[in-house]
Amino acid sequence: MRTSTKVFAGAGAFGLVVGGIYWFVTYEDAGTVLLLSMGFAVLIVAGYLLRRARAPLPEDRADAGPADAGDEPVGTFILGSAWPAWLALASALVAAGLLFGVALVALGLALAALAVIGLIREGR
Amino acid sequence: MSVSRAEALPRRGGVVTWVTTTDHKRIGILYITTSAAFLVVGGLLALLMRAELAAPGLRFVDRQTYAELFTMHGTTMVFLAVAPFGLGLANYLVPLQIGAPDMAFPRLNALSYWLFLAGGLVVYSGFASSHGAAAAGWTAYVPLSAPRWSPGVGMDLWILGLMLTSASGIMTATNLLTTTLLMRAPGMTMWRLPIFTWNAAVTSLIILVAFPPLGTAFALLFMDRRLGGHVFDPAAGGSAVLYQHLFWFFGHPEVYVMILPFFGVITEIVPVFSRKRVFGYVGFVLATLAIAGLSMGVWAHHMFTTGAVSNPFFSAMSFLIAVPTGVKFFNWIGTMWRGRLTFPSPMLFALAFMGNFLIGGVTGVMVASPPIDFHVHDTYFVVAHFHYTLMGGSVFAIFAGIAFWFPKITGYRFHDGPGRLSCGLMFVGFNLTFWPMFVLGLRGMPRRIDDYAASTGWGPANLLATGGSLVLAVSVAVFAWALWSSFRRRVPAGDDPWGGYSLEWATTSPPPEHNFERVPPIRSERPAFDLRQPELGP
Repeated sequence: MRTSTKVFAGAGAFGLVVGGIYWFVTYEDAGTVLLLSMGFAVLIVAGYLLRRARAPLPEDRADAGPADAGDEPVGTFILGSAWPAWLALASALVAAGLLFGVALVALGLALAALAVIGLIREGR
Repeated sequence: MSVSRAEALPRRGGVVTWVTTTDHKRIGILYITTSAAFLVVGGLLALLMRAELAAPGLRFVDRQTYAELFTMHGTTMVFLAVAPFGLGLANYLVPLQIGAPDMAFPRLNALSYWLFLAGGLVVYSGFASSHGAAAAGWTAYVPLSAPRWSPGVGMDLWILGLMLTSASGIMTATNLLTTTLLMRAPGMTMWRLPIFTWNAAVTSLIILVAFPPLGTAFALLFMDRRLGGHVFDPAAGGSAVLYQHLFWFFGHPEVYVMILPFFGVITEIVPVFSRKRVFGYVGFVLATLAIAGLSMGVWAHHMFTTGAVSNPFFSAMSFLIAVPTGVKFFNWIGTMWRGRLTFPSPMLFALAFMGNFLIGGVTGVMVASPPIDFHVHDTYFVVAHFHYTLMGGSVFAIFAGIAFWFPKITGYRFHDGPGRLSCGLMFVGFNLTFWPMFVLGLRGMPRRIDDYAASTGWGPANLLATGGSLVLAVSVAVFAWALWSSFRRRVPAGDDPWGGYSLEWATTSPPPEHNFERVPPIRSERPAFDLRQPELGP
């Protein structure tokens, strides 16, 4: 098992064990639910990493060098995009609209939809 | 390894480039400068509070304004300054330290920053509202934050603004964790990660499990205030204690979100200026993981006095967390032991960090004991304790980190003379400000009061604390002068002015757009050192 998987599996197990102990010590609902939820959530990531670990990666081999990555693309990295700032502005408008009027919510949602469309088109 | 980049927008200079950037280094700089600005604003709010408390009977500000000041000071430092600074530094450094060309999700990274800024501005916009800014304390306990006691829109803006910054934190944590797990250069195994990157990854894990309950608490609080909910209203069958559970399930791990990145900063600095590899690398990482786990099980030590939690359980867990924290001190001392020590500004700030944080940690063990906590709860003793951890610890590490990585980020040498002067002044000013608060707390001075009677005898210690806060302000001004002077002198730093160990020192200063022209072979946790002195490498 890879180190990253062990970290997540350990953290998930910790949440479940401490959540169990907490319940039997306190019989308190909120904390028990929070701890157990933490355990399960982290175990989902551990499961993903465990599944992905079937193919050995150069970054997990101690003897791997730059040549081992070959021409494997790391990814496509966009140089700039206006849509993230646009989407943040739209989110702030929606938040303000919850206090100052539905019109602002509508405007914010419209701007957010535009930003999401922009992000999707940009991602293609 | 090959990197492809899409040209989404034509390259433009100035403001447009910064607003549309998705480069992790620029976003890191935006985070760092914005959170530093919030740090200064939060400090100014604190100076106003100290002016009010300098002597009994003063009236600089009225009671309502004072409540707004301490609420916004705490909110700023916790949500908008210290934690985001750590995430900003991680944004800049993590891809460089693991040999990646950028963060895993560059546009999500940009969205995180802009949401953080928007959230901060929404919180501060409360000052412009008719009832003023939020005034229920940074914890916003119900019923203080309920409409009856906080009728103004400032409280709602506080809730909504912090929901935006919380969403931003979750996005950043997802990005950092994905980047660390999936974008390491060949040979950069998890056990060769720089300690800063390890700590940033563990911090991200804490954020991912601790921030969602905070968002839930704030959403429910907003429903109670605006949509007729009664979740936290005991009179209608709700539970005020539930809010405290949800808040502190976030709140105490948040303390580690504010300190773990800075443990990483200190652990990058100390080996470099001791000319030794870090002592006990594996132990250090395991201690960080132990802190992260235990931090999730200590939240209700903030609730000992409610009588609604299991004090033995939370006391035991809180005592336990001191053990891995102590391990870190062992690591730092072991690293310095018989090293060839030098003392430029970053190292001086790191040493000051250790002294201050030790006091914060030891007093933390004291208040983990319910009998002591019952005595000092809600007094200035607690104020002193958490300022020794978060200001004496994290904020000193912020200055250490700025001085250490300034040459990498700008390409210029840091002006060390004023930097060291600033550190000395800050250490003296900090201890003059916060040590008297331990005494005031033990003598019974409650926190969050805006005045006190002369007969209490609290006047001299308060005057000393106010004087210390002025020294602190001067020290920050001297540091700003050091930065300004460094830019003005423009002394080229070279790629590796300190003889650094981790991968960022193996690229140019400042780094190019793709971070590396060629990632060097990675054979240990000190790849830059191995590159410089291959005969001493593994």
